[in-house]
Amino acid sequence: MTATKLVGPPRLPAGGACALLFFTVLLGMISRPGRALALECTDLSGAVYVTGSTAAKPILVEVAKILVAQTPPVTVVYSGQGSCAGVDAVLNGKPLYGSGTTSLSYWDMTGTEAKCTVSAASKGVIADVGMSDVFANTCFALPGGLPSNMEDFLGPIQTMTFVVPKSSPEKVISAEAAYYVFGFGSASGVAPWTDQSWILHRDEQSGTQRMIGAAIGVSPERWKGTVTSSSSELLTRLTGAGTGAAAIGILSADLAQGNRGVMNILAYQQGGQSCGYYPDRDGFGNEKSNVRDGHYAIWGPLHLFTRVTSGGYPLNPAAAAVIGYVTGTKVPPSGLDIIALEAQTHVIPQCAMRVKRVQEMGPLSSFAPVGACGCYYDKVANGTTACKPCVAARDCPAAAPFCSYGYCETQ
Amino acid sequence: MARTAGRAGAYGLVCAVLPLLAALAMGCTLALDTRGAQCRNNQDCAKFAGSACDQVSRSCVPVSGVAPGGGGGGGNGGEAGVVQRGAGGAGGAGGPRCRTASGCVTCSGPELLNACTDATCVPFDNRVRLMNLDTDGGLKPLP
Repeated sequence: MTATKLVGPPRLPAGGACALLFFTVLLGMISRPGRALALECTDLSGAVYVTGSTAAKPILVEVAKILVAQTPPVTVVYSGQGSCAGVDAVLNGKPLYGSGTTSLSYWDMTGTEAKCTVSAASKGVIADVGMSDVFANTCFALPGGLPSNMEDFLGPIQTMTFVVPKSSPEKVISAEAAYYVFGFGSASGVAPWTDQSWILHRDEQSGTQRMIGAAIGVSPERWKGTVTSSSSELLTRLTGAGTGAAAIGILSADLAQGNRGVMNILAYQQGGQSCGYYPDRDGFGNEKSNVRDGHYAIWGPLHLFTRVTSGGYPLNPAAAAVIGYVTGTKVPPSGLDIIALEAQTHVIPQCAMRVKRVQEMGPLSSFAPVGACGCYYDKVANGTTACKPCVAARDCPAAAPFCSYGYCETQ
Repeated sequence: MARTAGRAGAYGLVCAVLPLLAALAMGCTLALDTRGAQCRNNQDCAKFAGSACDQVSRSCVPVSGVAPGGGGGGGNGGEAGVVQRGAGGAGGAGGPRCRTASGCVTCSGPELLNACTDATCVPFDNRVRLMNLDTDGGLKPLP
């Protein structure tokens, strides 16, 4: 009987082993330079981790520029994921990881974006702020509400839209029609949206899909049509080759209004509404007056989640600063006009709203914010306003007695 | 080596099964359906004077609401594709005013979705364009 002897690899002399190790490491560095040389996010000074929705990224960049110029500097490190991932990160403490194409972003004082990694072999990092387009209970069952150590700070208002190619003759869709189009796909019975391959939507983690799903009564995992991996892909497919009247998709207003040259936003008629409305007064402006006064129904605030003390204050002061600037409760340094920035990025500051809601697609109630900025928002969004300019309250009439952001307001 | 291979196999199995379990768990967590069921058609709303069944929320809403083929209540106030303008603003002397099929009329309370406005509006006529309604005129359940 011949015994099979298990043997290891032939041994090298000590010097040979050392040389082999050197060349192996060198080869690894050459073949995967990004991985070998990328900065670890945990090496950044004063990092505050933010994750979730991508909608507020342009505002976050401006906030990051402020905070990194402070002494000591605070570096905003951001991982763009779906809205529900933002909720998950704070609610359940799901760690963040990222390398290669999923690397995290951070910015210097000029706003230049750089990348850093959190290795999958590490414990990951825990997000300080989770951003979401939708309420936490739209993502997770929370019968008792949020835990007491977590708070939802409300930021600017985001609008969700139905979009069609520029060549489409369609102008409007009702909630009931959208229920059939996105709930039945090719069997919708709503011409011309009867071809599933041109009914474009996102996945069930998307805040856009979840908010619209709440509006039209189709839960996010039951949508029919063609799933796209990102809003950018949806935009490309909707406006690309072969598109036509049968094509329809969903996008947040920031993307939809930024691409009006190649697509049209549909007016939307909510259940119980006698007519469909565009987000803007005439479908062409940027002032979102129909969102602000309650005629256009599909909107909700950006949510910024963080862990808080028993008194309700953010545990992490850097997280508090990020939230304060984004929600408009912290005065930004001179030179930074958050309201103008929000207008440019097609979101609406709370101070420009005249209605509010406290649950996903919940009932509307009138809202009269102190320190209103509706007139100024009109001015920066559309370049014009009918409001009276003012320097002080003495310049204002009795009907709009408060001088706010340079215009006479009622509050 | 055999033990290592076995361990690797076990890890592989765990790696394959865990995401499935997680996906199942997530699916259960995320499968929320908050739709109520106050009504299925306008007849169910008869006990609320001047109301009709909103087929999305399945709740009774004021009569200016949309009721696709649901028994005569509501209406969409115009032909599909016709751009209209409301008459005047909401509020003012005489109380709030709401847009209905017959124009801008005084309404009993604040109705923000239908408040009269100068904004452009485009009606979508559910009665004409929805071809897949249930036999009772309501919306079919999702497939």
